[in-house]
Amino acid sequence: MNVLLAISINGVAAGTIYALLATGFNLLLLVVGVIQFAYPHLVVMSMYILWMTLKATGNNLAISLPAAIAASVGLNLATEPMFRPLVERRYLTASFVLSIGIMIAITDIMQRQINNGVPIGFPAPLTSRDAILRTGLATMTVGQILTIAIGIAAVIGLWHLLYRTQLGRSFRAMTQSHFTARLLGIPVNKMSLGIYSIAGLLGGILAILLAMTQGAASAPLATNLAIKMLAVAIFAGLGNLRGGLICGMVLGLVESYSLNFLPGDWTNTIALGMVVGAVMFKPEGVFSPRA
Amino acid sequence: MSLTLTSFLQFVTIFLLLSWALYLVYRVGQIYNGPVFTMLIGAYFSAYVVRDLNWPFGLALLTSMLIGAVASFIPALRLARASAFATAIATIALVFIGQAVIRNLEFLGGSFGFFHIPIVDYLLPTSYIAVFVIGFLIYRLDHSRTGRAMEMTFADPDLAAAMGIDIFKSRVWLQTIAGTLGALAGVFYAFHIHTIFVTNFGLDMLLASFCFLFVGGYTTMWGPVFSTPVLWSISIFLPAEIATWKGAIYGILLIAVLIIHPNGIIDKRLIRIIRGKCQSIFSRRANYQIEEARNEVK
Repeated sequence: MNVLLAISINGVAAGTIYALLATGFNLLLLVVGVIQFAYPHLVVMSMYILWMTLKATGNNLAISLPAAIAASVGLNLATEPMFRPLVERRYLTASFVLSIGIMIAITDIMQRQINNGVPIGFPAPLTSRDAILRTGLATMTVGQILTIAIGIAAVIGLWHLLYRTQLGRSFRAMTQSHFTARLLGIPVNKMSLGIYSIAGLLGGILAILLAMTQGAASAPLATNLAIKMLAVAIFAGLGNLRGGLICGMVLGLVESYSLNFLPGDWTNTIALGMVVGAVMFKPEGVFSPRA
Repeated sequence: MSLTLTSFLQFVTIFLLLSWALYLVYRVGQIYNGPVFTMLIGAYFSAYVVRDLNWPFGLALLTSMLIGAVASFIPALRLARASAFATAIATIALVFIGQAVIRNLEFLGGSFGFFHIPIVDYLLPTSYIAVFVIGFLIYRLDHSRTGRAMEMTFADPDLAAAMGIDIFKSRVWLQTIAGTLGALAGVFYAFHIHTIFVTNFGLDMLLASFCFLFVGGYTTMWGPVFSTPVLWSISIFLPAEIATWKGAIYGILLIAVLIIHPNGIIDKRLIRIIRGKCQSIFSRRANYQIEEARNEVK
């Protein structure tokens, strides 16, 4: 029972990360109309910037953590001018291909140029493995508790922003039609920048949480996260925030159980099998799209 | 011929086949990554049957293509109805599932790789003959009624369906053809490098092919013909200091082309201009020759 609890805690923590990634991705897709496949790469790049700042400031968390968030916001905002011509021409597929270009460039920088391509490791103050809660074999670390709490708070906060505020109403108007939103007096370009900033903020928080729970970062981590993010987004239905949260959790749990109970390396296969199954038999996703 | 040049020429054929495979399905509005999945199947199958079961190379090549066709035809029956993005993701998933399966199969070397794949004589000429034949067939397809139907489907699937084009059928067949080309590329890859790892057939391979297709131009088959040798030469012929930035250069080029010239460097307009120029040069020369002949007669 204790083992099951420990596995479940790991699964929920991983699932929250996937859910947050899918939330940032869905926000960009819903409001701006961009398929940002490279979103996890920007998150991992922020992890690299966090690592570099920690190194430069002698592990000063007070400077490094805001720097990571600022870097993530900056990186996401920097992609806005690239996507804008495609958004204006409503080239959704082209935005996916462009994000692949961003992905190739960032992967190459992480794989060859930073730390000579060697995966980076985060220092002890950030990656404390000390258990806060302990029940038999099951333990919960600071990173896990923070991940779950911040993940749920972020999704609730976003839901509140989108469905309970004037700003959210403007964002939702943009999901229907940028042209009509502009006619209604909504500053579409400024709002788009706002969404990129929110996605960047979320990405920065994710970078810190990933640094705390994973303790290391590398280019393959970004690719792995990108696959999981898309698995969650497709399985839940593209642009579905609520579904993304639930599916992220489910994926984390399924992955955690399969890692512990299945022989061999089948964890990714399960997530990917979910994607193939969803696309083939329920292309609009398990939850209704854009709920 | 030097080893570097041989390797360059061989990789050009491999990536050209892959880019054409992506091109064919993109013509009907789908981003299809299945060729890398069938490339994995083709490479491992052919390597295994030739090395361990002593099959002749030709038979292994044909059987791999057949298996590639079947492996892409079955999912195509469902994927043909999915959106461009969903197809892209599902087929990326297939690539990773294929990797996971082979990683867990010990007789194929698992994670350690499949070594000592035999040397095949005339691999390079064989692959160039294959590329010319396939290129000719794609050219014919592009200039046929089916090609025009494909173009129509890309421009407006609803209108294409209203005009009686069977989009589902064309997508299924094009995905199957793309899968077959992927398997063929896999065979050439395996027998060229002699040692294969599952990680060879992953996102890197896919992203490079994407880059060749979209930088070169996805509206004609000539786009990848131009971009594949040019971009691949970055890693081989340029100085090491520049070559280490290969991935970043690919990424930046892809972004720049999509922003500045979304159709890619070689598009239909450019092809028309080049053709017009060639025709005018040839007609001018022909006129000059006629004039000369007339003068001689006088």
